[in-house]
Amino acid sequence: MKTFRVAAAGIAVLLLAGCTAGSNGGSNTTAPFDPSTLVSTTPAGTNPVDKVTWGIQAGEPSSLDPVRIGSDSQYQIIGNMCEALLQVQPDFSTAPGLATDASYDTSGNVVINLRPGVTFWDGTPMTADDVAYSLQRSADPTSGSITVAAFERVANIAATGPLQVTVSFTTPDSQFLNAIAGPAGFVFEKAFSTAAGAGLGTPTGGVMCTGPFSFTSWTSGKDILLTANPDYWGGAPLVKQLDFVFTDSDATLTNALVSGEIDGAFDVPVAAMSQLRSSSTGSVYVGPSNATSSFGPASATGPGADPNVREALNLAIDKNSYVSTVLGGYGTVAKTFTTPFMWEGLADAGVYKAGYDALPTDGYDLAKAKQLVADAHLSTTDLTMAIPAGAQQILQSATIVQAAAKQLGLNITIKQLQATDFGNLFYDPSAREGIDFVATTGYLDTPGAYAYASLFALPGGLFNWTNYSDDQVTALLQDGRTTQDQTKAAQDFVAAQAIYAPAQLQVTLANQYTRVFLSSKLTGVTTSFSYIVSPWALKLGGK
Amino acid sequence: MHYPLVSLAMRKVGELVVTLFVASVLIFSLVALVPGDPAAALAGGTRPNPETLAAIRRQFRLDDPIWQRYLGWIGDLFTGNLGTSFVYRANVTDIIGPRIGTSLLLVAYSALIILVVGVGVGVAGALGNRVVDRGLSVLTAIAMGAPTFVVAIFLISVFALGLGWFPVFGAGDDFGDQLYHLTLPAIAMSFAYFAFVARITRSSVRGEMFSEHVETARSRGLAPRQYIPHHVLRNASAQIFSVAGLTIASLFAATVVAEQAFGINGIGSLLVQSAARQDLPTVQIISLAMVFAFVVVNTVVDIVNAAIDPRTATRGRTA
Repeated sequence: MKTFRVAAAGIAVLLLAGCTAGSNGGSNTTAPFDPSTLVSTTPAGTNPVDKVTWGIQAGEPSSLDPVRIGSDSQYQIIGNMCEALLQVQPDFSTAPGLATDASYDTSGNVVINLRPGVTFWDGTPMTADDVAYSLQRSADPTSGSITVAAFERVANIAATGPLQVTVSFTTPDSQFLNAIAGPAGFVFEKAFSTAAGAGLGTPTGGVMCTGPFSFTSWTSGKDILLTANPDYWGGAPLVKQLDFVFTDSDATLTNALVSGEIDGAFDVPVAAMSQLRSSSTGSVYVGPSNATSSFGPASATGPGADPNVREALNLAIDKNSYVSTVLGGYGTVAKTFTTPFMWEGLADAGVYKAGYDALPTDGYDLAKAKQLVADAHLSTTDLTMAIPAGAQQILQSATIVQAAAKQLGLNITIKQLQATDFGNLFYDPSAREGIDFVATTGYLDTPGAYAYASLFALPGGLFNWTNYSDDQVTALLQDGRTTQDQTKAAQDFVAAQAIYAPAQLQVTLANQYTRVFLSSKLTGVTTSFSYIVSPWALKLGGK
Repeated sequence: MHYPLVSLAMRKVGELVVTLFVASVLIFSLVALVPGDPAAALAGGTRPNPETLAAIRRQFRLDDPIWQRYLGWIGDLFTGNLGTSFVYRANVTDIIGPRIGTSLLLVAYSALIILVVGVGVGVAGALGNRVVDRGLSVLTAIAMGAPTFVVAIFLISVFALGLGWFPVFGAGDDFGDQLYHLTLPAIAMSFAYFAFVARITRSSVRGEMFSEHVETARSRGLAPRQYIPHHVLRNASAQIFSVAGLTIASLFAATVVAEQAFGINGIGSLLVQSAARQDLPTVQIISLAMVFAFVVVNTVVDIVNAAIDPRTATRGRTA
């Protein structure tokens, strides 16, 4: 019967679509990478270039609305167009950006003095009104903003001069100045944005910002084209056109880089590293990053909620082997989820470093791990770990945890969830029922040590699903968060970390490095993780 | 007077409408019943506030009963409104528009290869000597068994990366550049299908070679170049055409694999991306469009077939 066959063809297409989605990562054991060769930048370009084609490994972004930036694709594109009030530097410190100065005044307000003479791409001067509007929109949950949390202690945002904006707080926030170096501090033109309405950041609506490259066109499915801004306050870039093309598969990206059709890309696949390193068309740069692979408990009950079980898993996983297999050597073992690159650029890096170094180094210790599990007297040994479907590297991580658990007599079932379902885990407690662990990867787009600690270790923290609560930790983190003294903030954090770290609120498998491919004709890109929010192509040019 | 062709055409169009209706109901309900709350994903952020969620649910009619949503969806389709993408927040028309040309060109290119090479190889096998026939038979057996993505990997490594004759990714800019970019994908896509058409052509031409009227022509002393075009190929053409038509119709679904492998942003790769991101409105429209293309091509093939060979009009179905 023809009708049935035709209808069946439609269904088959849907199933096929479900099956083939995702990337094709893979593990690859290579000679160990030497961490002393990590680079944060490449020498600035010296010659003009007409066009650079850049591959976006994670595929086409869904939106370029500056308040909705949260995915790899969006970050890699927006940073060259829209600028934040402060600018994240290659060493992950912050420096003046659109603000020449932002600091606390005597009454605890943050006073932001704007750089004079900055214009949007359409020639309109940037005013305090534009900045206040931008911050207010970022703080407004109804705008779809994903940076609302950065403003949770903010009472009011107001233009207090032609080039001055003042932010007042309900309680002081030691982390606010870090936040406005990232998407929470992006500045976009008020008149353009209000006129664009819901069309802001769409292929037809575009954006209006101040950065070194202006939005030129977005052909859905094909590319996003940026053009050099000749009037950029920091000097015009050498590259005339920056063309972002979308490659959804690792193989396509690798082939296009090797053949020279694409000039460069961030986050190139681990499995393709040896092929890319031996390529004649370009080089791979490996840079420092704060990104981690980890897993954590999803429930306040069950074996996963027991810190001893998490510590047992932590001891039973050979992290060095994890780094060399899953990350191909392009990473390092991390003691906790707040990795050094998050604070290395801060003024009080010394305090943070001393605290990090003092944390215990948990080596691989199977005997101790078995003892911990035996002492825990578990009511069940069957556990479930949720991971996002199609994420190859996370699947590998989960498989390694599963194998380690098996040695301890624990059976972990890996449950792959579709994007929406996986997203639901993070704010819908009912979605976490029956799930013991969630494995994921994560990173911070701005410097600062408090972000993860607040999420995992404070009562009511967004990811504190075991209801971890320690009065001393809570007091220290709250004190440190609400002071204006950055050194005190550092000391409080380090003291809190020493208490909560052994509880393994998140078992950190590794800290991964950035992997950047760049054509041998070009130089000047940022290769540390600060590319995530900064104008990384500003100094890109010919050799 | 009785017009068998007209009544066949009317019957086929009737079937087409019914098929599309059933397909639209199936696609809409299957996709809409996928678990997960799209409103939360649409709202973005870590803790979407209830008012935002409610507004999104209203905008996308997520709270209505499913039959009401279906009627609204179908009604919108008839007014040319394909809905709003959950992911891009833009009209689905704007997302599909720039990509559909690429996919259509790819399908047309593959169809051309399938017809020319498939029929050519089939006829050569049927009329050639034993060695030629055996050789082509082995070739088509291998081709039929080769999955599209394997062929794609092979073509990329040899002709794009190795020899550097073709680009490895993208769909090109102007028409000539597009043809250049789509050559390898079109070959990869047509590989298994051309072999299928070649086999059908071979057996159908073989069949005609031994039919009564050809035997008669041969016994009357006609040379092969006289009876083959008129008596053999013409009679075999109806079957070849209907199989080739069906094959070409299914190419729309085959774009899914080929476009992914070659990094072409067409409808097929959009379907995969949209499914992965649970962009339901886009998945629904593309699925329906693929079924639509399949059914329409199929119907056209049936009607054209009946025109070539009027016997099929009265016999009814051909495929």
